[in-house]
Amino acid sequence: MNTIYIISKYLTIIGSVLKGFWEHLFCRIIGIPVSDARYLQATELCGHVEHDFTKKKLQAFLICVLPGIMNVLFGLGMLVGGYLGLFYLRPQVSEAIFWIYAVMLYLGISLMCNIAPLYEDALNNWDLLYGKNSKANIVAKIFAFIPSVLALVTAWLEKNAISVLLYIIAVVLGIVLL
Amino acid sequence: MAEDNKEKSLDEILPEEEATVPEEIEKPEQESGDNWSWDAAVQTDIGELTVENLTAKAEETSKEKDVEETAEEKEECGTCIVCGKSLYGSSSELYCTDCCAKFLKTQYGVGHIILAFVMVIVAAVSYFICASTFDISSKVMAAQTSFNERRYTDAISNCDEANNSVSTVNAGVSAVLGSVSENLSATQIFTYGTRTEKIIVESMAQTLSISYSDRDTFVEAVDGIYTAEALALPKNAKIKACYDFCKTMDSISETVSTKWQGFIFNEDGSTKEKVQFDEALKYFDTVEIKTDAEKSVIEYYKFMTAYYADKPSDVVLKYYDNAYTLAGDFSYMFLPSYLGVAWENEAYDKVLELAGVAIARNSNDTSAYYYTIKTYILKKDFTNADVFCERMKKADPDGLDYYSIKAEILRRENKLDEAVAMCKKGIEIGTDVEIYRQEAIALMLLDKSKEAYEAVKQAYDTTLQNAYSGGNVSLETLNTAALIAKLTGEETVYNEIADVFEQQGMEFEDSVKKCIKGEITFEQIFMEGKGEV
Repeated sequence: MNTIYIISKYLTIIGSVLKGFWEHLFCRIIGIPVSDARYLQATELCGHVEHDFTKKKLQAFLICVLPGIMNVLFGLGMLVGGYLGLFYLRPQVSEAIFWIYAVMLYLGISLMCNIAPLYEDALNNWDLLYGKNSKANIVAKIFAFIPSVLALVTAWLEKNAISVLLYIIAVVLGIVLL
Repeated sequence: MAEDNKEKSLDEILPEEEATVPEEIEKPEQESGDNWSWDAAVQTDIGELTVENLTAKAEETSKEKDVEETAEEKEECGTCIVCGKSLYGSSSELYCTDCCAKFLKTQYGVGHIILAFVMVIVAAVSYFICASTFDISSKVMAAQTSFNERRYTDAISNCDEANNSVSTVNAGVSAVLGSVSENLSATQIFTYGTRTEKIIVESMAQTLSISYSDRDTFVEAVDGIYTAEALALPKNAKIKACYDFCKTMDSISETVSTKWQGFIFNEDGSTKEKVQFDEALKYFDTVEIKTDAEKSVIEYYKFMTAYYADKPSDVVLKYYDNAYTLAGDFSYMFLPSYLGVAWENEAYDKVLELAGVAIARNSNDTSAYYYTIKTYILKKDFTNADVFCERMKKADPDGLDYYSIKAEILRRENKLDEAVAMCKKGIEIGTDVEIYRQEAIALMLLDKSKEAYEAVKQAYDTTLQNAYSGGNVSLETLNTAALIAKLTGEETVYNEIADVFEQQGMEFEDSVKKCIKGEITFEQIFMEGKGEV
């Protein structure tokens, strides 16, 4: 599974590197020590940085969601524009816009496949907010619920390279159905 | 203060060398009551008890305790995963204080910073492209919906809007790129894509008429979009069939048209006094035809021959019906003109039947609605006329025909004021010759001849403007304008129109001439029968 994960990260190399960069950036801003800032490595840390396993709820939550939000902000326009242009409008291959849409789609998928935190970070965040010994107040729990669930789900999907698979299926459906 | 109290207390305990044991110290002996020699113990200890000694001893004990506790805590804290030092005092659970301080400043890679900056620019450009694509796609989606709902005219109109959006975006992009380099000023990046082309072609195929220009535009569009291989694909079977039918029509027309014209027209282009109907039919029988499509075209030529030969309605309609039936899947191409022919030949039931077929095929077919409404008006079935009028508005919300035809219904119902109001409503929305004409007729019937003349003058002027700009001239409008001008004593306009008719070798309609002569009334023309001039 680790090999598939690493392959998926290398397939979406731009998003992986950028996600690693955002994690690094936000770790420094939030004040979480980063011991290994190699964004690309053939381990489960590929596309991430090795950082402290914080026990502060806010830090854990922010480092789970902020880097992903950055990739979503960057990638959503590329993904929607590329997908719509390529599979709905369907320009001809000989037209420049076809290749622009193709690049946009790749970059969009690349970024959107790298929006999740490490699965351990997502679990840590969940434990701090909703675990047995959690002292988080109800407002924080409500506010952070959906992002935390999304972080957990997307982290699991990314961990198993399912997110890449889903986007590949979406592209195939776009080619066949639209 | 605490120090002072301490000293004071010690002074009280140890005032002299032979100090007495205070009462408080005696208490333990009294309470315990064992063999412990409290006095002896006190004597022994007292010898070493000075303020300095006690303080130093207390500090020493505290330090010892601290060292023991710290060692225990350090053991409990664990070690840094990087350097192996104790995590004691570190805010991290993984790194020691030193490592933490170092890792809080881990440097970014230069390449990564550059990548992030590049991605910011790429993302900004992508959002622009995405917004533009979304704008174009939304119009294409509307076109697709219209197409699926058999509103083919709307579908083509939506595709035109998509094309306008593409042009606008490309103009903006060219302007920006042109400011960078002149070579880039003609760059056309955005297109509306092959889906739009397909919608246009399929909509055109569904709204084709038998006119040569329509067929030619369609054939050109197909040639431009599809390769021969692509056209042969099963998914394009309908387009190919339509394309082939148009080609067949062209081919037969090319074969027979020159010969056929010889039976109908003189060399100067005027219609022969006696059209050679029988000769033409004999000629058509000699033409080699194999398919129904070819037969259909020949029948259409027979219809035109009968039409020019002024044959009876049933003969004319028979040939057209043959052409319509033989065309099979493409009989709809004959529908628009068949409606007109049936209307002219007063086959009103046929008009309703054909209009029903036309509307079922293309709910945007306003001419089918128009003929249906006119037929219901003629049958004095104003309820159904009104129903179809509203359906026409629904099918073409921006169309101005609704106001003129609605005004006609109201006029026929003798609701003249409402008819005028309806016309005024239509005029507020847009300029239309027929609305002015309908207003003029209604005002004339209301005996408001001055206003009627003003309205019909507007209709006349507008139709002239249309003529100057290459548009069609409505003979109905000219006849109505001449009639109202004559009846209201506006001889100048009447004479002007009469001159136009004379120059073109035409005459006013019989009903107009009769009305001017006083043989029939204005009401008889516009409130009875077809109501046409």
